[in-house]
Amino acid sequence: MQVLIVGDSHTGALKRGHDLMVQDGTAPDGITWRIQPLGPGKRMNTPFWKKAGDHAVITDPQYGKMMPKLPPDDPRPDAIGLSMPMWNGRIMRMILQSGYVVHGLPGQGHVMSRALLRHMVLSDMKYIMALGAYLGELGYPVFAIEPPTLFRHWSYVRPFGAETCLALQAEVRAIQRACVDEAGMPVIELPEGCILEDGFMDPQHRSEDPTDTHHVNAEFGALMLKRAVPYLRRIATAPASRNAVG
Amino acid sequence: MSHPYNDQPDSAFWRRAIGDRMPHEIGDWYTKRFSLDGKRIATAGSCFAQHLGRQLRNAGFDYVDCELPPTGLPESDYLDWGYKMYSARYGNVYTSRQLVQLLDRATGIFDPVEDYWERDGGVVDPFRPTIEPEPFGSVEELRALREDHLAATAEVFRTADVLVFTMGLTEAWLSKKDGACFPLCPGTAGGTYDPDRHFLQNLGSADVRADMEAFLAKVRRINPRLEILLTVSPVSMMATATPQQVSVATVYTKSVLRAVAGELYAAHDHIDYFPSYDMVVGPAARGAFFKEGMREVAPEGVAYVMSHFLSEHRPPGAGEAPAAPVRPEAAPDIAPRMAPRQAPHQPSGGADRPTPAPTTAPAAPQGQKPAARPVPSRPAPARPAPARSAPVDLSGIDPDEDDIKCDEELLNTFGKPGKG
Repeated sequence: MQVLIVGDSHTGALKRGHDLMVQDGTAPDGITWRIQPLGPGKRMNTPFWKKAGDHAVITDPQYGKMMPKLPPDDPRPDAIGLSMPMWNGRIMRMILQSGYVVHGLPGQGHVMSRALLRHMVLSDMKYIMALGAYLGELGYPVFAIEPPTLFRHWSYVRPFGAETCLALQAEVRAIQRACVDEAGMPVIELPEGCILEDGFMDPQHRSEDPTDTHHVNAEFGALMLKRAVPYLRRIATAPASRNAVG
Repeated sequence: MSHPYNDQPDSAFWRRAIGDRMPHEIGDWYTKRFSLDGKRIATAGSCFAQHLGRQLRNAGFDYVDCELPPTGLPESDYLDWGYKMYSARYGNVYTSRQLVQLLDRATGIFDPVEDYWERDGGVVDPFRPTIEPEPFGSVEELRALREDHLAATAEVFRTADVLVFTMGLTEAWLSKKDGACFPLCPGTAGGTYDPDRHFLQNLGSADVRADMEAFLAKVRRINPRLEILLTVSPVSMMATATPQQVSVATVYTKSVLRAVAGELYAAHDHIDYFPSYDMVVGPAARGAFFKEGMREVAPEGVAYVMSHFLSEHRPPGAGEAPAAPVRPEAAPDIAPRMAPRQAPHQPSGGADRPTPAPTTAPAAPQGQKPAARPVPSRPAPARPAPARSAPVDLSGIDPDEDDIKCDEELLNTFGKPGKG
């Protein structure tokens, strides 16, 4: 089974996790992974792709250098995982930097309605969701891989406060999750226990690079890939219903 | 025999200023009373004011915006969510009563009893019911946003050097409890109309004058340097709640507002009047600046108006040489929509008079002769025509600009079905 995982910078940990699985001999049998970053997620809220018959052309110049067409011709994937729809950092940064606080959430600043937050989150992910829907129309099973939530070391925690960041993150992620669910896109969720009682990600999952404040490490990347396996086995054995929610 | 008319310029005589000229040749519309140079400019008013605000921003004036959109909100969504309409998110301020009460609410003087309307399972702010496309989830949320908004509004009034205010309507929907003035009739965009609680007051000229004088007195107490640049919206009423036919009601409304604007200009040195209404609605325009339906102003009308505005108020960095307010390139075919058909114009000559550009007149209906436009018989004015042939800098003007938010339009969905 050929599985393509494509997306933002969080594909880095997935790629390193895959290398780790190969190295220690724990890679699941029968699955060939191709993990392909497009680049940083900062422009994934723009029209970075367009329809082109039986595939999507990646029109963003930087992303297109990494993968000009999706899916690639050879090998054709049996499933496509998107590490894109549920990253909340992009929208959170914009809201926090603008000096806004969502009504009902802790923090200081100009008050923004919850309806506006929802609208902004949905606008932020609309090109990604459209890409997922298009690949689904082309017959590919498409699933989402949930990125990590916040580490306490995230650079915005100090200036804006833990309570503000965690509450906003939870609100944004909930809107994203509801949108992905509504689209019928299965989600490979974070494992239980990776979030500590204080609401932050367990620091043991932090990137090997100490200066990196929001990515996970190779071990966690491998863990997320393994969590995708039951879903992949299911669609491999039930091709007639491979678009169904996993 | 000596009399005052002897010393009047050509612009004071109808035939020389208007009657002998094509619309794009007409000039001398406006001479500024005070400069905008280096001043912070705020806008409020009826929806036509959105055009002015946008053009001022685009032209590089120091525009006051105390409620900036959050980063990440697509620019195409700004108006839907009430951003970049005006200098704060107050939405359209149609009446003088709304304006003075907006100031009172922003400064804490007035706290209306009826402070939310229910709509679609949520609540909206009666004083800006369409500021967001969806209702707020709770009264608490509405009040939190309003508190933030009114603080921003107070900041606008405190910090602006010039307020551009476009007077729009006289029909005001008021609360019987405390006189609170709503921008829209209760029941149209939320809430419920209740004749025991609400009433219509069609403001007269004395009412509008009193409102504006109250506003001026109050606002200059908190900002003594504030100057006011008044305009009257040339956009006709979408609907009237009076027994009058809507065009009759519109003429009443606009006449009151135009008259009071003139009175205020005469009474206060810190008030200027920019005649966008006169340019668009006056007979000189022959209806050419309206869109189909004769209600809204076409982009070329906005461009024409703004070219005259910007020829008096030079945008920052535009240099000192005055730009000539000529026929905007965005409006190559200024032709009347309702005027009599024009015969080819015959210029009357004159060394200094520019040859009028040909005007494309609409074809006459089959079998009907075009009505002849009287050929001027009087010699050309001795001085240069008010309009000049040098191109005006319209770089700040988007000829396709047509994107404003007019809540009134929702009134079109109401009313009894027509007969037949």
